[in-house]
Amino acid sequence: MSQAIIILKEKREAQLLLLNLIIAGLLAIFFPGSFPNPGNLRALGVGMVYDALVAVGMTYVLILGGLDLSVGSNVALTSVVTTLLLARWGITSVPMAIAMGLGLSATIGAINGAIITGVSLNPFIVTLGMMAIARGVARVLSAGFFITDLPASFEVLGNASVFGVPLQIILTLGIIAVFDFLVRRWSVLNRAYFVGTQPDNAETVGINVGRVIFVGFIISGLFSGIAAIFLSSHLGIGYSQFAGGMALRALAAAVVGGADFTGGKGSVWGAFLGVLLLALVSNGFVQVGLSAYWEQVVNAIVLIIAIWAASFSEK
Amino acid sequence: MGSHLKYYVNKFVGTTNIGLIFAIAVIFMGLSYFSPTFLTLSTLEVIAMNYVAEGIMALGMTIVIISGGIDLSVGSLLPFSAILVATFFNMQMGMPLAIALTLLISITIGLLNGFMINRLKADSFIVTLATMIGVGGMSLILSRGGTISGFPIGFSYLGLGRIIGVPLPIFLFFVFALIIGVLLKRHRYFYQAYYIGTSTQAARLCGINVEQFRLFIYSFNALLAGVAGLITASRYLSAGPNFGVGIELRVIATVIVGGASLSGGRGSIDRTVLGMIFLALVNSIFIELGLPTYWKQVVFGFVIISAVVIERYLRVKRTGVEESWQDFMLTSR
Repeated sequence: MSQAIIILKEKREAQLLLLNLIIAGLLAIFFPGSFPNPGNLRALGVGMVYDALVAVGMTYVLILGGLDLSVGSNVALTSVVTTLLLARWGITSVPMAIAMGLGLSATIGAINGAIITGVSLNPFIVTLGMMAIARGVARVLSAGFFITDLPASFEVLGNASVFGVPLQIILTLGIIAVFDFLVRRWSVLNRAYFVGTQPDNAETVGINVGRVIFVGFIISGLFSGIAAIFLSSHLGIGYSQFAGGMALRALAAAVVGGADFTGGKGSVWGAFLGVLLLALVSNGFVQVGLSAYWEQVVNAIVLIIAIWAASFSEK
Repeated sequence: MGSHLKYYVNKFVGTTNIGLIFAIAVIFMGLSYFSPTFLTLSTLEVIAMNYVAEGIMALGMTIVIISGGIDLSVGSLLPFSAILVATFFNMQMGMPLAIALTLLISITIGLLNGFMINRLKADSFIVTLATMIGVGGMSLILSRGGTISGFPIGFSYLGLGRIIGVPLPIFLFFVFALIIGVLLKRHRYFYQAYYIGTSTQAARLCGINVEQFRLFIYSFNALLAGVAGLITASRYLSAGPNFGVGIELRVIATVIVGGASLSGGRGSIDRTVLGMIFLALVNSIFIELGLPTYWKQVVFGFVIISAVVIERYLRVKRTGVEESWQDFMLTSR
């Protein structure tokens, strides 16, 4: 028992899990008809899939001591290009188009990483520039319109269900679980913690810090790409205005999940639970029937409490 | 005589952003050659007016960034102050009182930023992100997601009036820039920003009250954002929660393009003014030449990255001090 209390005191993931369970429990008790019903849970899950993927990628970059503001624009550009490939640019094979879309999103991340490590620039300004460029290119390519006329097989990924659970939720949980395992156990990805905490020492012991950071930005780009594919497949359109403000939302979720701007902190499941917490709060607003306008204020309070909790555990 | 001239030339090149001056000159000449309407007073005025809110906010942001911080909350403070003043007017409040209350509330939010950064020992980025989300929510609550109008007639003077022939917002910008620029160069209190930005610990050891300076600078920055909000509301005689979406990032870009460093300790008001002129001109290229505006964002992105790359290249070449990219990661803040 005392051990459980210690874990709860020190582990952000445990705190978040407990908090999420409490909120879900309360919602289930007070709204037994509308909260635990499959339709609501499905909407809750599908609504958080895209944010969760992007927040996980963002967390990895934060662990490195970096930051990626271009994730939302990356989602928009990947969505536009993938759908354009299928609708107008003559690619008939859906897997091929998806692979090319993911390749594009990884390339955007690679360009970020290459400029940051190659030209020695702050990730904030580089990814800010990329945020404008990617969003702009998405608008130029789509002329601001929805991209429709997609093959039916493209929409399977985002709309199919397995035993009533949407496929994209299962896939997202799978991707996050595998990535979490790799980050904890595979030395190549685990180095991020060392690099984020002590970049100079990491260099001294022979870690190629530049390459770790380069790979980190590719991973962040790739997660945006996966979110983009799921999102366009689910809605059956490509759109250049997708995911506006997603970068800051993902950042907030990552920080609620235990990541920090000093680097070296945060975890994959923490980010996921952070997104889940914000999604539950937002769903709670719908259940209680409160004006959605209050939601942002509550999100801000959640974020401040998370920052406060982090400062508390450091002392 | 010759050595004197060389000294002043060197001093000038050393303290300003020479690449940016060159770029501004090129764009200016190019636009006056290709666009017949560019070199008229009214066009230049429109170009300046389209960027004046960013400009005013960039002045405060410069000091925040020099002191090693960042302030995202100004992005939602601008619409919030516009909505606040509109709400006060709709409550039949007098103009001086409404404006004073709006600015006071803006300052309070800035104080809250500084207070939380001090007490929570957290990064300014994430604290001001939280305030930004919260203040954005308050804007939605106050305006119920819509646009508010119903301003008294006299209020439009702030955004549309003229003083000695210059539009008031532009006049205000130059007055603020002059005062803040001189204070930042000459006044002890403001100059502390450079020490704090270079090394907070060293500044503390020198007896600088870092916490107090933070409270001051974040509330000052919020005050300027409040002023920018009032000007915007007065220009359009309406206020809505969607005013100036993403403006905080444009403001930060303006400061960084001018040559300030996000790791702190470097930057100045004259550089920020250069950055503002440059971005305002880049912004106007598309309208002046009748190019499709979809490309605007793409060019904006390229321009800020290349401006920072070039500034850095010139600086390293001049000073001979090579900088490792690790110094630029957020960790070093």
